[in-house]
Amino acid sequence: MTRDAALPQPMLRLEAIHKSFGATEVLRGIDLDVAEHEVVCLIGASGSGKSTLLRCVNRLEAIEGGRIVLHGTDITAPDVGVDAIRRRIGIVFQAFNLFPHMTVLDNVTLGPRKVLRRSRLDAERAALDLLARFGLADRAREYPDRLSGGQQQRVAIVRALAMQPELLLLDEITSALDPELVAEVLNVIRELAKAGMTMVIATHEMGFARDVANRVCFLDAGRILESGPPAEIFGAPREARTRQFLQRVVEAGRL
Amino acid sequence: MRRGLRLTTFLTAVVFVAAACSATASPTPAPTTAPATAAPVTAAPTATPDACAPANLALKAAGKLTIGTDNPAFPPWFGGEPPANGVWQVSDPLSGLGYEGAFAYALAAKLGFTKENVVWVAVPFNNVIQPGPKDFDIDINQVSYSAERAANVDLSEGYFDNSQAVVAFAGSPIAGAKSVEDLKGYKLGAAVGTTSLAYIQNAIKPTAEASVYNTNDLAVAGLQARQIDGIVVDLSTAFYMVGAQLDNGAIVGSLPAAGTPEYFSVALNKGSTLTACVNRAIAALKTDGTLEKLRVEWIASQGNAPALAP
Amino acid sequence: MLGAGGRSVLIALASSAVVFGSLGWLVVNSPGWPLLERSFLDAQVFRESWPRQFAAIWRNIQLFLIAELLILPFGLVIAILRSLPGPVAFPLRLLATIYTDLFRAIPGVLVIGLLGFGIPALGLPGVPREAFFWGVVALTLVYSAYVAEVYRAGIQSVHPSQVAAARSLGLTQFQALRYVVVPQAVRRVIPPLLNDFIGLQKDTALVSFIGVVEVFRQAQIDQSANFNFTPYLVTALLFVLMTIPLARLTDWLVERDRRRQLATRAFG
Repeated sequence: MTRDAALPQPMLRLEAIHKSFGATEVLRGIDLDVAEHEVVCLIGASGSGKSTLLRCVNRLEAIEGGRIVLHGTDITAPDVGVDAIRRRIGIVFQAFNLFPHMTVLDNVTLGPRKVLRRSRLDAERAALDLLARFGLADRAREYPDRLSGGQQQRVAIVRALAMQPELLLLDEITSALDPELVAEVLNVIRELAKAGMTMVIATHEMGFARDVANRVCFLDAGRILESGPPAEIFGAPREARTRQFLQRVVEAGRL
Repeated sequence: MRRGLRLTTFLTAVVFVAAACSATASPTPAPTTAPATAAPVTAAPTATPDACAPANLALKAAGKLTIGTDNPAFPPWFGGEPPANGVWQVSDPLSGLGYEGAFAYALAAKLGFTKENVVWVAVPFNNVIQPGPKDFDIDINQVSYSAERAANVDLSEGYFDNSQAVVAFAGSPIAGAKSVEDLKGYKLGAAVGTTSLAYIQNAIKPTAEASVYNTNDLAVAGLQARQIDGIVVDLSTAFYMVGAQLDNGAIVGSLPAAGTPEYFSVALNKGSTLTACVNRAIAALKTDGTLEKLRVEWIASQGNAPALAP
Repeated sequence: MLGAGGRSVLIALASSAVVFGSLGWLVVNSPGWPLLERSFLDAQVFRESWPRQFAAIWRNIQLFLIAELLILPFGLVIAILRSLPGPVAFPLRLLATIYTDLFRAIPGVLVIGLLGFGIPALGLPGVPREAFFWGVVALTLVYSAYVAEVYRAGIQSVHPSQVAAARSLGLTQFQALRYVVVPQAVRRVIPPLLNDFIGLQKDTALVSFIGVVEVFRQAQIDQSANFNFTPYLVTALLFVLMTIPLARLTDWLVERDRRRQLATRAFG
């Protein structure tokens, strides 16, 4: 259990999450609390369940056991409206998943206009502000195929932010980027963290995790094996497997 | 480089071999010449009786007269019940009933063929009037004479004077038409490639574009769907339509001949040696009153249609 | 001298000249050629037939333009009905499946005949009788079945990550379909849609079955009047002139959209 005693009600609580794909159990009992304004980084090997966990939080995947509570509401209850939940949670994917047939501006304003029912004028004004904040205002009328990978991913982040979510999920958002483009995206996240956005980030970028995270959780074989402040996890990990994992990361030159 | 050269040589060889083969393999039609007889050949303007004897004619099947007509064979041209599993539908040419059925056997008799030596083949109408070799000696199938058709096949003297007629529903507005002029305001229909269609386009010239169908049967369907007001078709087919195909149909009237009067001819292979013989036979049937008798028996007795004024 | 590339070009040219030249020589010297030339390439008949057919082809154009304007939305509706998820939508999926099976099975000319002759003959009040009207209806029903399947393939080809991204924003399934999936699906299936459109243009000739005088019927009339097949050549030429610019336009549209798709394709 990793509950912060000072905050009685966490923003997000994951209780005993189990998830299987067919015969394979991918999440074997995840417990996690995320406080408001907290930045939690999930690290672990491929296949450890990081992406799956994030997709369960916004109910893109259905869980077999456990409960997810967002700001006091059980979002895994059977009668809960899934679209209303997703409005409150933003997610950014590894492959950006921008809509290729729409301009950047339309990508960003689609949610606010159709889901939040804002007028086109209001939505576009807000979108342009957001895009300007992240240096993308001059790309607003372009189509995604004209943008670099880093720019596309930043647009994807802006698209998620435009919905003013309570919680932002980031699923290995730099893994598909060329190395020189990674920094611009990570800087965006740093800014968001500074501004107090609650985030759960699955990442391979250990240096970044050390900088930005309030807490780092190491996932191994579907469980959170170890969890704590970055200094502890990266400096003095308790578990052997954590040390093994970090060893491999260091050898790969990523730390 | 070498492969390209080899391929070019190969292709050239293939093409020249094909050329050589085609030059020798193409069949040339056997020229029709007058059959050699024991008597000296004289250049006569009309065929001598000897040349028209069945034994001396160039026939598809020796000793038999092969007559073509379309299938189904309709009254009043043909009659009789066709055998259940046979080729012929609606009527049976072998019965010798109907105007053309009776005419065919009368013509055959005049040419010297008994009933047993007459063979019938089914030939679609379109195949008769197109250029090219035929599967019959003579074809009797309501073929209206035209100069264009005569360029492709031999057409005999007329054996039936035809006229066009208009078929509609009894009591409909068009049924009250008394002249060609009266027909101009109606939507008419006809089958493609027929003299009926040409009549609409050249003589009636209606204000509304005519509907054109694949066959007369489909024109009837168009009339029944009320998509046209009247069908233009030759008089005898008009009788059939009104008698057999339409409920409450009527012949509005028969149309005045536009230009030279229309008549049916017997169709033969282009340049056929039988043509002169057939002409002679038809002339004989006309003189001895057979054709008129057949007309009265098979056509006129079905009722007259009023003649429409021009 | 010439490099390897230049030599290849020369060989290609030489080979083509030999093959096509020889074929041409073969054709022109075959026994039937003079008759063929008269029957298919008669300049006089061409000149006479052209204006009549040029006037008649407007019938075909009207037929396929009106039909296509109906087919594109109707086909999409059928495709979406077939793609609706969930047990509640089962009867709709079933209806849509029966529709596409039926109208792809029955020959178009049969549908035209059944509707064009059959329904007006019933004499029902208020029901139009014109052959042209039923021609459009029949073509629409038949082609919507093919087009629906084309759309469906397009919808299924849109990567599920697009739907995931749309739903993650809070869009409903229907909104995701409408704003994200269908626009992409439609752009992807433009080549097969154009194929079907070209097929439709030719199939307008079938409406001649119920008496409409369109270009093929006019060619038939001219052909039987002259015993010459040159009118059919006129018809072929008219269709070639109509189809080729359309094909080039589609190529351009497809290329533009392909670029956009590839740039945002998933990396992993």
